[in-house]
Amino acid sequence: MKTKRRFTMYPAWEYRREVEDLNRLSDAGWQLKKGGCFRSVFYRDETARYRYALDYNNHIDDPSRYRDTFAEQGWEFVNDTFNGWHFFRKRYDPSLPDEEYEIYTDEQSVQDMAGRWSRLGYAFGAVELAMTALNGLGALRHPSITGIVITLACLLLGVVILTGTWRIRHPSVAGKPRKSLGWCFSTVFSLLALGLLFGFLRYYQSSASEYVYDPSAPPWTWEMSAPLPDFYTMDVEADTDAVVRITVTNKKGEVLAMMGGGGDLRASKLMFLWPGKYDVTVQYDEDTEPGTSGFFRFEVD
Amino acid sequence: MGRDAEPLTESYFYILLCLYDGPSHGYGIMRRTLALSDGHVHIGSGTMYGATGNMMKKGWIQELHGQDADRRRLYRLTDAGRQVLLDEADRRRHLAAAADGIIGGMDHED
Repeated sequence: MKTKRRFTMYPAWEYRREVEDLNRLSDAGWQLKKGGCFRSVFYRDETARYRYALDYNNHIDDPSRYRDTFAEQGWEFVNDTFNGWHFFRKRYDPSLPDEEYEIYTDEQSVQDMAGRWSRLGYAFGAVELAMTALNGLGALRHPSITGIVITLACLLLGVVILTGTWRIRHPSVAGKPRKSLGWCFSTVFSLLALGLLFGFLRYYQSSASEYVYDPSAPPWTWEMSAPLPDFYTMDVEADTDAVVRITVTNKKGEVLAMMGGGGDLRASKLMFLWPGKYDVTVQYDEDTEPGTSGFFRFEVD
Repeated sequence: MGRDAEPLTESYFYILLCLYDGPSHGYGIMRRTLALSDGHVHIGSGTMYGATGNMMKKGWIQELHGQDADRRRLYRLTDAGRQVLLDEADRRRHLAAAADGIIGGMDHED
């Protein structure tokens, strides 16, 4: 039997759109064999036309009574998913009214079904907002493009899930179905992929450079490179009797960061750098006695 | 009244009504409801499963052990369910009477 797989993700609140698509595919000769959240399998049969119904019920008291109740009205059970969605189909007879192909026929039962999913939706949304807060705090403490992008992705996902969960109870506006939020999921997944790819590249092209020097004739300049546009932190440790000044400049000579102090200097500076070469310069104060020694350690990451 | 004062939905009302004069199965209830309501009220399978489940929990209907000749599950009305139905029918009669008292004698365009 000829079969085909279809990889499509429908948000839970757009289950009506999924049903419409299944009906269209059935009219075109592709009958659902196994429905899924991400992947569905169809077989070819041009002799039959079905109408589909999707029910969400993750806690069925009496599975046998449940299926019998559907079978009585001609609904054939197709399959269910791990997360509580049940696919049914019924032979299509154009002479019958549309209500014959509805499984929820009053507002109360539609709202009951929506309510069952809403509990899960609001829980997911809350988890996503908590993830946003955690990632956001992490990005504030250690700024990075990856951290910011993943925080934005979590925020968008949380907002979309909460909006969608609200929409499952309010599917239309002025009698017209609301526009799909599918593009938001594409954006979220793109952002997550971008953030993770960026983090991966950053990890493997890390600019972590350590410079250790025991000075005898200042000033000294080291060249460092930033492989990717991102936030970089320069940590400096200096043990010297003199007052020193450490600067980071770009090739145009513009100062991007400056730190200074005497004695035991322990400092950290956050910079946003575009890809390119930069100079790190250590300079003693002009009054420093010639021959004053010191120890410097830089780390840029 | 032995139940929350919330009015019954049409589906609940018709299910109880269809069981008033004897046990029936879901399909029979659906067909009879369609006939009683002049084709206006259709009770889909999801609505039927939820409504019968809720009403069994409330003790208004019971599932009979054993099935009919077509192996369909049969439901019957309990005494509590019968009382709920009678109360609801009373409530609706009062509503209709009140409406008739105000607008019953007027001419309507619609």
